[in-house]
Amino acid sequence: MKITELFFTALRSLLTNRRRSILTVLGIVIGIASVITIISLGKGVEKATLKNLQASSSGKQSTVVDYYADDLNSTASGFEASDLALINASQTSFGLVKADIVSDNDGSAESEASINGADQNVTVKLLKHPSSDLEILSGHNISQNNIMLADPVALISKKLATSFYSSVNQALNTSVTINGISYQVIGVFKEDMGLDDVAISKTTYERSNNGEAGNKLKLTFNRGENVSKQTKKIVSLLNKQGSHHLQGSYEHMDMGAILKGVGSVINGLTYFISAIAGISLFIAGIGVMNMMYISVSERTQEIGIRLAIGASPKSILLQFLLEAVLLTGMGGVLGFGIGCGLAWLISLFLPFRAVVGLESFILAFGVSAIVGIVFGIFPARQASKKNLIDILK
Amino acid sequence: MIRLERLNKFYQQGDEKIHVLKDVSLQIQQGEFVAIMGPSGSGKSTLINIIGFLDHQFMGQYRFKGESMIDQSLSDYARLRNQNVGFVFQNFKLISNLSVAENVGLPLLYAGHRRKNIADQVNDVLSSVNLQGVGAKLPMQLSGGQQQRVAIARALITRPSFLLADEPTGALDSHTSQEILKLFIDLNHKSRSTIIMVTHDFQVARLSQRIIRILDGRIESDRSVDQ
Repeated sequence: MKITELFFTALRSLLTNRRRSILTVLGIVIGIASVITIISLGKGVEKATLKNLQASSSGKQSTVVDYYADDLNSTASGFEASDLALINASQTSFGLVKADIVSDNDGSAESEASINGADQNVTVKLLKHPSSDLEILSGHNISQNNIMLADPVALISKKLATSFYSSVNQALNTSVTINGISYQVIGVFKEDMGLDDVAISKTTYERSNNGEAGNKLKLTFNRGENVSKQTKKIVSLLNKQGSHHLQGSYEHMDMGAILKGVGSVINGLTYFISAIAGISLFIAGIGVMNMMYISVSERTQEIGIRLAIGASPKSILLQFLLEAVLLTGMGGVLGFGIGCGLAWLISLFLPFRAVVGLESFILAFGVSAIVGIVFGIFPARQASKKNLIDILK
Repeated sequence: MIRLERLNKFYQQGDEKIHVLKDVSLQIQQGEFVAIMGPSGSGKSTLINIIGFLDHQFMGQYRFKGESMIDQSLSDYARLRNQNVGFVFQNFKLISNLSVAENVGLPLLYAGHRRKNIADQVNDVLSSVNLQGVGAKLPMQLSGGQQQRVAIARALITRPSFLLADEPTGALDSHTSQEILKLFIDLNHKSRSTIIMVTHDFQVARLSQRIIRILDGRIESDRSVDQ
């Protein structure tokens, strides 16, 4: 019989026993679905972290070096123009495209300010947009116009206002000097949970700072550079010759290493779930074997008839083997679908999207087909070795 | 066409070795309608199992169309059954979850034809046994006589060298039996089909041309029926 005809014959008898087929294949569906779910999520994490942490949109890779002063109250910036000069002097040997000092630290900076004639270390909130989070107690907020025009205006906290002036209102229209620029206080805000003392426009602050001082250094490398290794070299150079190497230390958090860590956790999880799925598949395979044995014994007459009218033992074997493989294969495809759905559903609650590749499909289908072959071959052999004369008696 | 020479067959039953066929020799020519008669246990089923290539374990010589059957492999036997024999059994032996048309077409699939190319042949052979328009039904939806005609259609579809009918009327009432036997006679007369029929009923056997009687594994008599 042609293999396509055998295929239809096998499909036909599976559909005749629809409920039994579905129940038998359930274990395979569950096993495959769980493996596909974890693999898809693992790939999603991998892709997302690679995208977020390494290459910029232009394909260049960047790292960040931080400066930590030994004196925690120090407001001195760890990077200065001399550090840039130091690094740029050997720019090519590091494979660097550029090095930039980043003045702010997630929208705030430490600085020394002069208020009412007294010096004070303050945390400065740098506004890119007018902030609606700040509750203004007196005066008015910094407007979009102020930010666009880089007006030297500032908001100060109630705490700061009351410690330097007799009342909140007294602080209005006074001035705060930060980095040599005098800012007019136009409002006082309530410092709820925030640690900020002063809020000013970021553009104004950066103008005064000239982008030449800060506690972060952003390094951008050529594509293909070993960024982790090169950054380490720069860090050790800075720790020997950097402008503030005596007052603090320059450090680099290696995202590559962290990524590896995350990856290995996911890998471990994948192995664990694969092991469970493997047991599930094994048990499901035994279920398939059991069902096929029952099927073979129920269909003894059919086998006898087929043999009598000219089926070769080989085509009987193939028919039953195909039934088993078709059963598990369909379970695999179904499990793949459910796994994809589940991974997608789970990733709705996670900061990344699950990734399903063709290789996942091949894995699902391949594994389930192999289960079908391994557990279907013995019942199929039994079917093909039936004694024709005994059956037809 | 069929030539058996000193055929012997033993069965192992427990510790006992049973001698079922004893030096059976016979010849059947193309176009004959032969009835094989004998009581149960006489060895007639064993004999037709060997003739019909169902049983390959025997001693002696079986030549089919001049070719020795001794050295054939199991898959050769499968091919011989498919191409040369049309089986008709007492209890029809149709596959219950396949439609009538699928049952009839099955030997062609095993001969290597494609499902979509055999519809015409199936319809033709169903017409030849007076069963038009039942192809889509399941065997259980038909009467016994109709089911046996489906089985005959299945036996005829590969245009086999001979039909082998084992008690073909054993499960049918006398009226339906007459119809089936008439069909065999028609096939034998019109299409010159060779028919070998096993029966224990002389009323059935006398409709054939030649009756071979078997008793205790030996051919007791072999003579033509006087018409």
